[in-house]
Amino acid sequence: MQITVNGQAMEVEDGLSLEALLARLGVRREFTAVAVNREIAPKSAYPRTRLRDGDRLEIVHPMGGG
Amino acid sequence: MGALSLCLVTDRHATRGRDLVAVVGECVEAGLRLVQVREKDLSPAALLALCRPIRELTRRAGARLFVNSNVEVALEVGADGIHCPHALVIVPEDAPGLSVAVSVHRPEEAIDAQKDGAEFVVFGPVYDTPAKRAFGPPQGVERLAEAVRAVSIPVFAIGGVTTARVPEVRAAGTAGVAVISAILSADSPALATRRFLEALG
Amino acid sequence: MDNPLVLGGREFRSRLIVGTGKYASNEIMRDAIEASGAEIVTVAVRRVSLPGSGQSILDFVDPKRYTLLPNTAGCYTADEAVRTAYLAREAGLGDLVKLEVIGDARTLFPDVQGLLEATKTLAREGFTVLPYTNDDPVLARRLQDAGAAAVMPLGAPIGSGLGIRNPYNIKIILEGVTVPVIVDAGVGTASDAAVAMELGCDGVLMNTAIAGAKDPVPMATAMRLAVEAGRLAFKAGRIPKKLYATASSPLEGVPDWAP
Repeated sequence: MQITVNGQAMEVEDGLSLEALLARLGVRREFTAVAVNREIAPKSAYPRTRLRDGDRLEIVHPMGGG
Repeated sequence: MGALSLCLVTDRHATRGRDLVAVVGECVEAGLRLVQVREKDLSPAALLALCRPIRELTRRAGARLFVNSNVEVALEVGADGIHCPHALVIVPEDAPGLSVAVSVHRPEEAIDAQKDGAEFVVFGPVYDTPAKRAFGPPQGVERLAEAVRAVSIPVFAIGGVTTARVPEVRAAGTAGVAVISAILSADSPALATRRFLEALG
Repeated sequence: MDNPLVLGGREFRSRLIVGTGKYASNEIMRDAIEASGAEIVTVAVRRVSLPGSGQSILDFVDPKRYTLLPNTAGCYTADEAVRTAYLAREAGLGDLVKLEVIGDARTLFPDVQGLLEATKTLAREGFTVLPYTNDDPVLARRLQDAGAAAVMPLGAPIGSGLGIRNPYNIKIILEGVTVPVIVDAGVGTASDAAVAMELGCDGVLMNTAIAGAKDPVPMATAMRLAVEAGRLAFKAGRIPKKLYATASSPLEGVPDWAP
């Protein structure tokens, strides 16, 4: 299925969990957060959050800013 | 036409300083039979601590308890179900023994939720409500009716629902209403609960 | 000994808040923040560059040492700003938020309606909201009523370095609200920061003035001193302004030099 992560299209297997995707992308657990289709995904729910075709993810962390 | 159901969605910031567990207790005593503990900003540990007493008082009255998003907490307290936003749906196989209720904003999302195994959906915001004003205009009763027609599972209406609006949402075919501040912020949550139950009955 | 700046129930000794943007390097940023004496440091919330874990700004700004203040920069609606604040909190950046809802891309002036709406929503949900606002005293009152923990009027457009364009409005804001008033945006050099504090402001927030200076680290020191000096001067009570002179030396006992 196709999902969009930080604006980039990605092919992943059906039913992939958010936890597995983040591990695959090497995203640090600390000081990052994820929104799926504009909803904040609670970290405790990562393993049970299954991604679906067309999901749009934003994975963020702090960067320099004023 | 049968009675519509009443669901109280909790928000500890909306109780005007009163203890949330105490307020929920008053509502259950006044006849409330369905509670959803939302509290999106609580840590899992704090959520668990909040759900335990609420599970106790709902269990004693035979009321159902749904917990938002956290399957571990729901299982730990013996809740009846889990509630999740459409964007982060949890399927029944990932929530063993728990019912799944889903929040949706569009009829298409209600259809998805039914396919994903939801027991019921909560559609909103139907009317303007301060809590959701920042996110854009309300959906309106027409869209609510569309959502009802689109699925065969129960659809609850949420967002600015008052006792005065019950006839309108009933006419749209909803199975029930979900409220937050209309009960929690009322001078007497117990009285507000009774008024809703009368209007919905 | 000055009383502390209190934001969201927490006490801070430093009244200078600094940003982390636009530095030539992370090392200069780290050194400048250190020189500024700031205890609160703003950060933006942005996409992680994938794949994975490159350097993080938090490798240079120790979250155990500094209080992080995530901003909602780049948000043009209440919806975007609120969601960004939620993300920041979920990322463990705390529940302080510098709330920006921008109304215009060239001036970066706030969208007032969106700002009020987002302040109400976030304050209800337990955030300590510090809204970046304009210098309108009526809006400042509305923001306080909406639950803001402070108000942060701009001195001039972000990054413009024009200083405090309307000190009179800032003074009126100070008289009209009870929450801390922190000038945020427009500071260009040390005297601007001192002026803000001399007006009676509770703090100053700046980024470009330090990061964009020819030599950020000494400029950061200058800003620290300016904020301290302005605060001391304010508390010491300045003399009134007069149109004509009043001699500083006594009028009697002047030697008579007439032949």
